Amino acid sequence: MTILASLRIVGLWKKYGSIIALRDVNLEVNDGELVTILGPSGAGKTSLLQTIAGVEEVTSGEVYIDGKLVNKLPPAERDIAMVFETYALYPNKTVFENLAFPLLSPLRKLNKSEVEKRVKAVAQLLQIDTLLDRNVAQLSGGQRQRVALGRMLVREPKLFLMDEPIAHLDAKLRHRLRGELKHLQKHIGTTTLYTTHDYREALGMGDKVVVLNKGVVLQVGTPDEVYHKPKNAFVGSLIGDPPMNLFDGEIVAHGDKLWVQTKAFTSPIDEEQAHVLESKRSKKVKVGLRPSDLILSKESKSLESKGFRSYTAKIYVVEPLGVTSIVSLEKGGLIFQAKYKGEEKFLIDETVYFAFRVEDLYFFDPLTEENLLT
Amino acid sequence: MARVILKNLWKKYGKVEAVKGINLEIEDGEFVAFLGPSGCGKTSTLRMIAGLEKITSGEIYFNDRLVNNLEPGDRNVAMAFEAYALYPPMSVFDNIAFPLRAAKVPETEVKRRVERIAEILELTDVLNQYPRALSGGHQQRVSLARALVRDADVYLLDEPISHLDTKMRNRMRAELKRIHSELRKTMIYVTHDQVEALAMADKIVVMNFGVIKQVGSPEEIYFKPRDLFVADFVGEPPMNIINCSAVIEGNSVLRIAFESFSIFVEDHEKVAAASSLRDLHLKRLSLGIRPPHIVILQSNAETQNKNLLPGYIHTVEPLGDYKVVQVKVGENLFLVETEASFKGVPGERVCLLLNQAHLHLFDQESEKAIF
Repeated sequence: MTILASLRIVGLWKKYGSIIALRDVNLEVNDGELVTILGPSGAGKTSLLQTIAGVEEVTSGEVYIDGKLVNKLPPAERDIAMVFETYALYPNKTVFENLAFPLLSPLRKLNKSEVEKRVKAVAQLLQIDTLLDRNVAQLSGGQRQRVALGRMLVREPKLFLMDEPIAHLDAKLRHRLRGELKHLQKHIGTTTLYTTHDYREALGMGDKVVVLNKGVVLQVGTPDEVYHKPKNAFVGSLIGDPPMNLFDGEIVAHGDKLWVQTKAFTSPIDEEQAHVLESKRSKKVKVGLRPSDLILSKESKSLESKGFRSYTAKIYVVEPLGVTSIVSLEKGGLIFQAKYKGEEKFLIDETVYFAFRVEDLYFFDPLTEENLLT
Repeated sequence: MARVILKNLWKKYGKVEAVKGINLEIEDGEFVAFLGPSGCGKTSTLRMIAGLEKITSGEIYFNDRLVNNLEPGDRNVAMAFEAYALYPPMSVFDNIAFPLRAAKVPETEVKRRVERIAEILELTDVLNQYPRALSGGHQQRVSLARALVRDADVYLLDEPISHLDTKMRNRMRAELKRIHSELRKTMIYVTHDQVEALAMADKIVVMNFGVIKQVGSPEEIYFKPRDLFVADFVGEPPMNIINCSAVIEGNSVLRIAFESFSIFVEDHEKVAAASSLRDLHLKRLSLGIRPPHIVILQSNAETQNKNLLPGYIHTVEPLGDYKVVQVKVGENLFLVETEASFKGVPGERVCLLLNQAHLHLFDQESEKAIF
């Protein structure tokens, strides 16, 4: 079943009248890669898939599949399979009939036993082989989702385009399917583009993540890169839950060392970072700190004994989520959040201490929001 | 000030039994979440408390007063529902002020209270706009503000933040909890989202098919689920639930077996709980363990441990500050939540070690937790 393909997009623009949906998108996808496209609604994710599929015409720019320019090809000749959030299965047909449908096109010239063979192989892969005789209407959401995937897989296309395929399923099922889809894609090896507004899907599944906003590609990188080295504050706060805390700050000099001053803390700057931030002396910056990088304690001693500089804050609210709690802290009129996994019980309005490793701070330009360190 | 007491409360719509004789006491000032999937009866219960829905049988008390036959307007409850029901010809300010003006609150006080709640719910900028100009998420916050601005005995909130985007929803979750901690009024909150219930409530009432499955603090519901439904419904990533059987070996060891694997439990209380069941060895059971309560061992350092479950890595999902790893043990897939620094790759052979302090065992027939 392994058919490899690659995708290259050069200077792609898509306009709907005066509305610009995609703005100079450039992207390369290697053979067999799963690339996730992450962005809020209205980012241009669906437009991007539709122009690749040929459902929408490009305004300008080029789309290459397997090195071949496909701008002028109709969708049916691009050898692409697309799954949407709504599956559009035939409710009155059986699972088998739904799976077989794409193979019955006269263009395919497959005989009956070949169709049966392919359908069964795919059904087995997706573990729906016991459901082949059932009507789609009788299936659960998760089962239907697999049938929709199966209908895409039987075609053995060069490229899979998946548009938020599991967004409307409940959270639990999404957790299971995420891993399942990732495993399946690696097993089949077909190049895949997958859109989502959920950063967990984007990071969890993607070999590469494309962050899109307002039609512009903000960053392309591995899950590790987009999380640890966000190109700007938007990417930083889009990825992570709770989102990255952002503070207005200023770079100040104490003696020959650089410090950063915010309403919540005044901290020395990591030496390597200080080197890069030297030109920002006495200038305003936006400071980022992830909730998972904030360390909390009822006592300053326990933090300081580990070599941390500790700061006070008041507990605003505590949200227990099982093993982890989300603790909102208040200081100087600012509310910011920490992820806490310890055993201490914090009370509302209690004064507590927080700390962080200086190298975990992010620095962004206050106007352009660009990451100053990358 | 109100305790709310439900006694053998039923609601039938024709032949459909939406609420099947529930009993519940809600303390004055408590934040209670009704949690369950759609159709579990949580909204019907709330609407009966509000007086919007006739009670089929049973009783509802506010403190010592039977309210069954009281009109909604006479119960002194404030409500915000998923459907916003705003007044279109009124500005946001006037919508929020409406219940205060109806109660003849002086206008200076109206202004103060509306502006305060608008600030907390981040509506200050839209106070002069009209509902139709606002997004669904904004409208929902206006509806919530209109309920919270009132001085009521009981606040009834039905999925009041469901239409907000994730970030705003998370902020409003914290703000609602904070508002409650300041007001200390009785709040009853209906949601299908277990995260919301855990995060905000003092007490969670888990419902399914019209009955209460468990009442407890967020910690009790998460760490000590009383049955399979609660165990499976609460927690993300979801609890691993594996078909198994069990026998007592000697007098003090419980052997839990699935496929060709065994786990030996020596904890006295757990062994005692299992021993007290008749025909334990014949029962179809489920083993439950949450993803953060499993450790993945990549080296052979602990080969002496007979509780190791050998398997291989199926997928690894890096999620920023943590990873979710699926490990295949025999035919079963375990979800494991692990550190971001975890370095395993698909296909790699590993062993799982389950944290026995957090091990659960369920009887599949009764669906009840044995421990």
